[in-house]
Amino acid sequence: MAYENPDGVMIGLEVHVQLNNAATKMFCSCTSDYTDSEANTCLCAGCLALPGTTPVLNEKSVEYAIRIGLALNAEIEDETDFFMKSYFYPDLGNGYQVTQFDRPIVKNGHVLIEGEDGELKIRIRRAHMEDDPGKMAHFGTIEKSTGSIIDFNRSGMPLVEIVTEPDMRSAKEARRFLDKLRSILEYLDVFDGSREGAMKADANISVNVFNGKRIEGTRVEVKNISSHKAVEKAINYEIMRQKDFLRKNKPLVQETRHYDEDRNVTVSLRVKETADDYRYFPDFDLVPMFVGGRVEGIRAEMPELPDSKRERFVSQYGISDAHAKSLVTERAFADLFESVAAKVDSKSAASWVADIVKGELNYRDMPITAVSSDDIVSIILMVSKKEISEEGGIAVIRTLLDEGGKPADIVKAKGLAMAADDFIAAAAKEAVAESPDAVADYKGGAENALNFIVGKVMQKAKGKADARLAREMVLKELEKM
Amino acid sequence: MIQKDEMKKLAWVARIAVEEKDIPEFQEKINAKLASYAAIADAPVGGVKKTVNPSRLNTVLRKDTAAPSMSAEDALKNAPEVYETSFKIPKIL
Amino acid sequence: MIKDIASFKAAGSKAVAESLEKIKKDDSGIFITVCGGAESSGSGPLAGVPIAVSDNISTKGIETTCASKILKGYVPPFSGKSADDLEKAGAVIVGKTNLTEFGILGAASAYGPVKNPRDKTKKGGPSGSAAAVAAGLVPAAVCSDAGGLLRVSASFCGTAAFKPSYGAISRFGLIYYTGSLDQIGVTAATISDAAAVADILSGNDKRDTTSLPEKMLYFGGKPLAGCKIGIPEEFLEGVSAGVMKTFDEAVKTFEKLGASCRKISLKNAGYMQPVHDIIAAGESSAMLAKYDGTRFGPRAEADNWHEMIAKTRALFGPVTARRIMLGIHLLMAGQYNDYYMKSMQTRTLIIDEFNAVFQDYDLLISPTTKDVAPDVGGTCGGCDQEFSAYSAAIAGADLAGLPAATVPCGFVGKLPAGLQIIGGYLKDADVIAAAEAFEKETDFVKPQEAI
Repeated sequence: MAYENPDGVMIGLEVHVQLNNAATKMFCSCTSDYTDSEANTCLCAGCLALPGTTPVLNEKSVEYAIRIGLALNAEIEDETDFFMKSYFYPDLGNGYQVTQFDRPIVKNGHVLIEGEDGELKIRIRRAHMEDDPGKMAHFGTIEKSTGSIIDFNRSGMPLVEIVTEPDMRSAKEARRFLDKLRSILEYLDVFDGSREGAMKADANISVNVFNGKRIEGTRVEVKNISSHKAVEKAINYEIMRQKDFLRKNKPLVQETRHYDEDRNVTVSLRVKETADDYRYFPDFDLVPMFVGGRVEGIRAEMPELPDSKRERFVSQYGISDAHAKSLVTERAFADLFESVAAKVDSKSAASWVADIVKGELNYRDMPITAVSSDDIVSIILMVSKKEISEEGGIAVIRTLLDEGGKPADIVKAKGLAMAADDFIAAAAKEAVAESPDAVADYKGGAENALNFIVGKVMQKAKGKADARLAREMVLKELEKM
Repeated sequence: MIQKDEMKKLAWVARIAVEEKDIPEFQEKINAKLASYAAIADAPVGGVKKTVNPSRLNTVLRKDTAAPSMSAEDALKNAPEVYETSFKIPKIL
Repeated sequence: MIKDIASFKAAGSKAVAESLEKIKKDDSGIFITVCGGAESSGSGPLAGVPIAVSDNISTKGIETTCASKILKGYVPPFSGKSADDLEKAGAVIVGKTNLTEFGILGAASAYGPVKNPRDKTKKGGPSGSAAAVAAGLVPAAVCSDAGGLLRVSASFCGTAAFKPSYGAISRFGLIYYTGSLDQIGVTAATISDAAAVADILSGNDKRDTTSLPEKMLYFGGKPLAGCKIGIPEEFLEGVSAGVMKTFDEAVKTFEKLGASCRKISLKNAGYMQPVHDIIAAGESSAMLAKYDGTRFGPRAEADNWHEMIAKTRALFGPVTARRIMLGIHLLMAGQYNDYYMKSMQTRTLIIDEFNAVFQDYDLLISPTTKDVAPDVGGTCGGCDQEFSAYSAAIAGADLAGLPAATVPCGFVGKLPAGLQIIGGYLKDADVIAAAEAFEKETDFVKPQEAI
């Protein structure tokens, strides 16, 4: 059923992606790995904007931008260049940011997401390269601070800013877009999304229907959305605020608002004294770039992306689309599935990796590196050989994650091994012999009586029997009578 | 031509404090410069590509290999005010 | 070996000590900082030769001010490529020369004007580098040149100077205010000396995007015999009678040496000055934004950051301040297309015209400046129009990144006049060869001449 979008919500996103998988920053050879370093120790004269430094562009940041463009089904501009965007701010040492203007390296792409009413195409207007400023911290809150401090370790980090058309109609769609984008970027190996500041989004939100009538909405930009959880909340808050203003007939202003995650509100940024004029002009310290010649080489090396991997998983392994979808969200899970599926039945592999392993890891907030495919393979094999029960298998995984160890040792230590078939057969024979009343009831048509006898078998096996097997054995014994 | 209030605004955009008494001189001299640029009004630039830098080079890229960073001591040596290993500044708002 | 060249023969600790002694006694505002006593190390081609470096080139551990109050006390934690190269070649940097604030022509140095060693009532030019050579304080000085910082100074003081093709010498560590127009050059008593030092500074530097991949060759250029020389008539406009006389003689000398000289017209010449000015203003507004009292340099007191930086930035001299504001105005959306965009396009026209002219001509010559050195206290001390007042012949080579030399070509009274020789892009050796031949034929150059 088509989604009606009752409030005529239009959402566009500007997503800043830090290309932190490059070894160095954008215009200098400083390390990009500053996360655990003391302030102002991962920098050079260029990061600090000391006088007399000259920028030289990192080859990797160009390659990564092209990879992103190809993954977004976009055009790659052959001749591209950089501009200076000028404004004064303490964390912007040079007083200008190096960015792109009218010739972004990537333009006119799209991403498919699962929308409110099925597959939805989100158009990508452009993606451009730029450098990150330093980081400021305040003594107290920004409004009431007595002073601030600046760390320039982040200064000069390579960024790609991806700008969508306002094609999303709900906060949920915006979150799904970001989830999808993050997944694609991780596949591309251009960034590590777990690092602080790796991905940030600004959202442009307008409500274009009021009282069932189409209206000219007011575009409000909400900045500083740094977590995926926050996206939905921030957008929903802003939609609600705009609807509330419309209802109360209060004027909405086209403005930039800041999302305050702690209070879950968007607040207006103080109106600037002068209108924004960033004085974009070409960066004369750099020379033009012709990148067209690099595109085919990069295309040839492109990894398989989530959408095509999902299709392949369904056709190659015969697993369900739901499993495939869940597995491809993160490349590491897809890889884990494939290495498990190489050794065991692929449907079991899919359900163990997608349903059980993923769930147990998420529950514990543990990384996928906490499990190995060998361990999962041996657990699945033990279950399929009925050496342990399915519940036993889950218990092994839980123990493995909580306490460590090898599956075989855990099975032994926890006494999870199932009893052998002949032991169960013997137990079934005994149980039937010891329960004449129940046997009589069963023969008399009381199906419940069977459970009593099976329960006895399980008791004798001290729980190390597969209940289904025990039931089969009991039935066999009863037939003999 | 730049008017007086524009001149004051321009000084603020440039973040250069100019005393009120000096504003007229700034305005006059900048306007004189602007007037002299009328000389390019008739330049036949239709369809002409821009030149940003006289270098004939293009696509100059650097290998993604990290080099050692500057010491915090060197980084902070010229700082007007320091807090631990950070640059300290007066409040921003 | 460079030391075989006459003016570099004075080398070693004695020569350095003598140079330092003379610099300390100097009262012409030539130097901002004297670098005492650094011993020459190694046996490079410039071993023990005292050399001056302009104070807009970063020197590790030595205050570098660009002659601006806003950089007072700034000690770079790194050296510019050219300063490093000089020291690697064994040279001893004996001092940092004065310049107009950030090298902007017309701006005033925070350290006062440079006086001309030949007549201290006259200007020594926008940079102290030529005066340092002319006064016999050092045999060579390294200085950048945008708008004639180096060439105008050399012309006023009667030294030879050379600004190579754009990209020949790394700008790493050069505190330029207009990166697309600026290029490091050298002044010395003779053009051969200047080229010899330029040779040491040249070569690819991975830290500067615009650095040429191949090392520039300065020697073995085309001999003058058979050379076709153009004289752009637009470059002669406003030239004083005295300077014109020296230039006419120079033309005769070139003809005598077998070159053919012909007047030509550059139809875009009238655009050069304003285009240079507009581009320099725009670039300065960005390049001079980093001076905000946050990470280095002096800081004014104020209770919030924006007020603090505005007060700090009031340390820029008025000409520099106006240059920044003008640049900001020109880059704003309302003006951008009419001024800045148009200038970048006109720059293309200028380059294309030079390219076409150099199909037919090997070199272009003209007086370097319209007149000889003006009075120190003259009307152009700290004015906004100084650059255009000095010369119509300077801007073109900057805009197109062409190699340009200036050599003394005579005197008007006791003040020297300069002859500018411009070559095609990367034809640096041809410019040097022509200048050398001219120097040999004339006797305006007297190495280490005592004044």
